[in-house]
Amino acid sequence: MPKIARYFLKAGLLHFLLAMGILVWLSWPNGNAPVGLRPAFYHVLMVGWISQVIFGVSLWMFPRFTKEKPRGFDLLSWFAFWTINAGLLLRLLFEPLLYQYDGSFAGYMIVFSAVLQWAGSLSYTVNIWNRVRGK
Amino acid sequence: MPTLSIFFIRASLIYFLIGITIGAILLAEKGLSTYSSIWVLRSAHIELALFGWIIQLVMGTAYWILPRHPEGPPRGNQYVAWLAFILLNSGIILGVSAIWLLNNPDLEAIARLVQFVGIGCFAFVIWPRVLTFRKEN
Repeated sequence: MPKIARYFLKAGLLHFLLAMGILVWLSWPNGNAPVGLRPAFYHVLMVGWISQVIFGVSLWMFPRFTKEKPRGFDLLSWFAFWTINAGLLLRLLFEPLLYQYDGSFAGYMIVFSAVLQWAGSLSYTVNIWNRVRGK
Repeated sequence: MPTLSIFFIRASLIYFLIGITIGAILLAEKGLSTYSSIWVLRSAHIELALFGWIIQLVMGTAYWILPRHPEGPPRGNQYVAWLAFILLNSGIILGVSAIWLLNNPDLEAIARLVQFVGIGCFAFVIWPRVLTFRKEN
């Protein structure tokens, strides 16, 4: 299994644990979980866990791009890995703050998080597109 | 990878890009609070991400990778499998239009029914391929 796939899968597992930890907090009686944590929870689960597992397994198992570059352009995959994970963590950090304080800094960080996740997703899609084919 | 899987997976990647773009716009709006009427897109974001991206990608990969039949069509009846693809995608497009553009619950119910029949076709093709060629104890 290539390094980038291992990174995606292990990051996915960590997000899975994180999501379940957040769910425990959200459902704890009188746990006083911040309001903005629920939408962040759904995205840690669906993007952080499920989508990252899909990214990792597809980069590992889909037909080779070429003999010289079996996984396509690794730089695009690594860019996707770092931007998606950074974007998700920024969201997790600043979305609850957005509900509690009317600060513009948290708002700008949320916008930055959106841009990071979008750019990473685009980068993954561009790289995997040509590997979705017959042998 | 068979042609049908290529269609399933490429369609899922297209939905992924559209879904994540809508999601990024919604998240940015949450940060800036400038144009709240954009939240009408939330249902489309969920529909595209769940049915368009994740479910469809799993279906395409399963059709490609599960054990093939030793005799007859290796991946089962391909006409039924193509019907699954067409019905699922018609259901997704109809569903997004019903929820987002037309706000029509009746049309949404029809879209869900179309998706249901599509998934039924998929299950019909995939079910016999969930098997082992080893002798069981």
